[in-house]
Amino acid sequence: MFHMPTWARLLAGGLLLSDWAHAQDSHRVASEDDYFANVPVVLTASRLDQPLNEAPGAITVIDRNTIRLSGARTLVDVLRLVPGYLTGGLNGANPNAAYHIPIDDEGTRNLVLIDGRSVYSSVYKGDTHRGMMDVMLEDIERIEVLRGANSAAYGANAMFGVINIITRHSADTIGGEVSLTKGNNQIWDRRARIGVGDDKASLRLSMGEQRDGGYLDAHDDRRLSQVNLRTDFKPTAVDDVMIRAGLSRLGAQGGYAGNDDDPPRTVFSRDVHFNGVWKHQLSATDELQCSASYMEDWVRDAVPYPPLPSVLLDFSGTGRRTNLEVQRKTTLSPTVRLVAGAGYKDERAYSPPLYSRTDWLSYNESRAFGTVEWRATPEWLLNAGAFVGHHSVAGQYTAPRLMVNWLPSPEHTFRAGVTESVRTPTLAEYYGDIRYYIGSVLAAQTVAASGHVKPERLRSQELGYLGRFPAQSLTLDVRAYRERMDSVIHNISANRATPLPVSGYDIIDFVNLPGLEIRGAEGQLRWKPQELIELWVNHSVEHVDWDLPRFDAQDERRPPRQATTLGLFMHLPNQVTFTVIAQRLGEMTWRDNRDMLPVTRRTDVRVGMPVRVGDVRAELSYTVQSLEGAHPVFLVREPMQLGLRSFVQLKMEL
Amino acid sequence: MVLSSNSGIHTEAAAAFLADWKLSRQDREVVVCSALELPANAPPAGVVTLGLAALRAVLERMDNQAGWTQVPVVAALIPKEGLQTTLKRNHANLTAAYLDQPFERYIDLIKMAWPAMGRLGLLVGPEQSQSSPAMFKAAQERGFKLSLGRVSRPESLFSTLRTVLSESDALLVLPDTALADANDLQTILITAYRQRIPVVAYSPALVKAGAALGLYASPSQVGKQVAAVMRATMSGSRVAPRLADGITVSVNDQVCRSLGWSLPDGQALADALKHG
Repeated sequence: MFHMPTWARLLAGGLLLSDWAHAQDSHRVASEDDYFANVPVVLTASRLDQPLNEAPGAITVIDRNTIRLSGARTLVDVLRLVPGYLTGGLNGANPNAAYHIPIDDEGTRNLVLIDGRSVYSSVYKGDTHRGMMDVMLEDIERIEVLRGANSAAYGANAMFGVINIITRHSADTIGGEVSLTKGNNQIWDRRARIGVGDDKASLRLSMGEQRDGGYLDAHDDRRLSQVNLRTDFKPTAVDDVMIRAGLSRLGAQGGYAGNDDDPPRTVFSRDVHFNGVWKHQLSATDELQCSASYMEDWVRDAVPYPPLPSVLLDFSGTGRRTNLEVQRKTTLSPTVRLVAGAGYKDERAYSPPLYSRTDWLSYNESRAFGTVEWRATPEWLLNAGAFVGHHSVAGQYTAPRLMVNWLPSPEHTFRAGVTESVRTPTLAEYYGDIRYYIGSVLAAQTVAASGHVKPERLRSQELGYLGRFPAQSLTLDVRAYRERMDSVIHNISANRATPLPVSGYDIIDFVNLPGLEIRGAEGQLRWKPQELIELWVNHSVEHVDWDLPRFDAQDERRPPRQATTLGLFMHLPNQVTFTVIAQRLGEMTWRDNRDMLPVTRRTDVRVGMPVRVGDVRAELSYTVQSLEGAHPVFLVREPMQLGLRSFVQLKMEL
Repeated sequence: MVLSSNSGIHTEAAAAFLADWKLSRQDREVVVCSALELPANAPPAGVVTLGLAALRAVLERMDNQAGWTQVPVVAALIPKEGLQTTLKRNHANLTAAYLDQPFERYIDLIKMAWPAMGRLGLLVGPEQSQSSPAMFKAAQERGFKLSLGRVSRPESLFSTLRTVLSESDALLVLPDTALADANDLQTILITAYRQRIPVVAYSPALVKAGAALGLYASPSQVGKQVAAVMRATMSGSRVAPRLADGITVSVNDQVCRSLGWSLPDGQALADALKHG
């Protein structure tokens, strides 16, 4: 066992733990008190996770064991196991996931939380795909994906799915771990973790680097390096503190050979983040939580414009976000629970090339939110919530939510509800202004945001069913929905204010256009026909209608009508594990029908077996992704093919 | 009947004893007193002690007052470990109805609650390590692979717990002075919950604190068992100390629901154990 060094103990509040120090009385005699004396309630109502069948929405949980068995190297690959999720990405170096509709390329309308910290970028487009890389899969305890919208609880951006990543408690990762992954397609991953401490104060430091060659024939090699730290400590029996900090550096190739407007280059980005959460148990039914987070994302994306090398195509910038929140979870009566809170965030960006100004742009938002859960009868559970935000540019907005759960028995839950969600425009959509100069002469302008843009809104109506059939070892989770999205923000070509020397370029503005409606259903069946075999079947059907006929005609961002994923997880003799994940996606577009992707099939297979390296426990695994071989992804007009990938991983627990 | 105190559990057990005693039409008068007020008069025909303090008071009287040595004593509301630690010498006339449940009964309960589970973790202190071969056998016979964690020192609890949890679907915690500290129990409950592993415990207090399931004899059940033992003793039978007959099962619904388990209620599980 590792012992926590003095500095770490100080950092972890070890000095405050003296109250906890206790001397075991070795001469104590067992008595009836050991059976009947009161013990303080440890797992208080507020410390317990809400049962899935009582949650106000459909939630898919992927635990760390499933993540390991999936053979995934990226979070996006894991999300293929969640019904309704589509995976793609600008290229192989920028993987992205979208729920229901591939409505943007960078995950702008996803909400991704890592231990409660929202990861979207403040620099420009509010993307989440880079922020999702701020955590290594091995450090994740579980991923809870709320399938649907929930701005009432999370505020803006919780529009198409909430991906809630919970990292492992540092007390559960004491010791060391080293893993090496090597494969074709330039795959070469290395990772190390060390954890020290005990159940009262603990610390984990993990670091690693991932490299791969992206898609076949594409200029999209990826190199991701990161260091993450998490510490947890208990200053008193009723207080829990978690601090997480990290640094990620990504070198992601992009662009296309021969494309002067998007020439091949390497985009360098760096995320620095900090997150602290303090939970204080006021009583067995009352918890106060204070949290603070800070994130800085820096992007260096600059390349000479090939026809005029003196002109720099520059999309570089720095974004910063500070977020503070206080939340209280309390039980008002045996049948009524309340979660209420308030928060404040400040977003800012500095980017002369993206905003044509040399000062920091910013907005802030103050917010209040609350959710009441009323168990009207043992069978009926009502959940009503609302979020009120005051945005310094968008003004005030509200996002209400009402959900009714009917539990005729502990095994069966029916759910119906309506939710309104909001996405406030990004800084780019308000202030984007990209100009190119030859010398001091304005040669071209490609973005000129008028700022006349208002928040997008989504009204989601849903019916759900969650069934557990213990005798058959089977669970079934079904969600049918109708999602009406209004004021969708698009970029359109704007009129030129002034004639420019370089012609042939559109000037982009961001405007609200009429919206769209998505109707569909999705479900997941999990079946354990035997103790050591588990089968998952995901299926979704959906249909999108744009309000603008031309969008329908050009198959604008059209999801597949049908998508199916099968997952087979087997534990064989001698602790050998075997996994197959097969996915079939119908025809779809990430842009429009000029890039209509055909029906695609992808099968991943993984075999893992325990080995001993000296006295060290280890697992050796072999994974093949995209067993079918090369198939088009994201765009068909560009050289983007996901080829067969295979890699071997050795993971050692020290 | 000597009570350790006038607390709820002692009076509840005493009341159940008296009701049962009365029903069985015993002609012996029962005098109930506190351990602090043991009468100094002639020794009674038999003594029931409820709790550790009561047993200590009676043992002291047996050592110091002639005539008490031969009085039959039934020690109840006491763990086996507590009685064995307290006895300084062999008392031929002393028997006991322990609070401890047979280990096999816990295993049966876990199998009933989670039929698909195959791996069971168990934490024991130095006192219980001797009985581990029997535990392995009992678990194996019921389809469980037992992962036994021996907590030899308080400092080793957390590392032992982590090892055991990594090899278990459920964790059984048995009464053991080495594991009875409130902070240790908090560590066990929180760590197991974080890893979504249900804890099965031996007391109602631990179920309230966060264990998913508890198996124990209620004070009333103890009272009834003691009445039966005392009747046999009074009729001249020599009754060996025995584990608890009473079966009460408590389910922490909130914890079980949060872990995604829907279990039958405690009464149904207890009935199934009694008849199974």
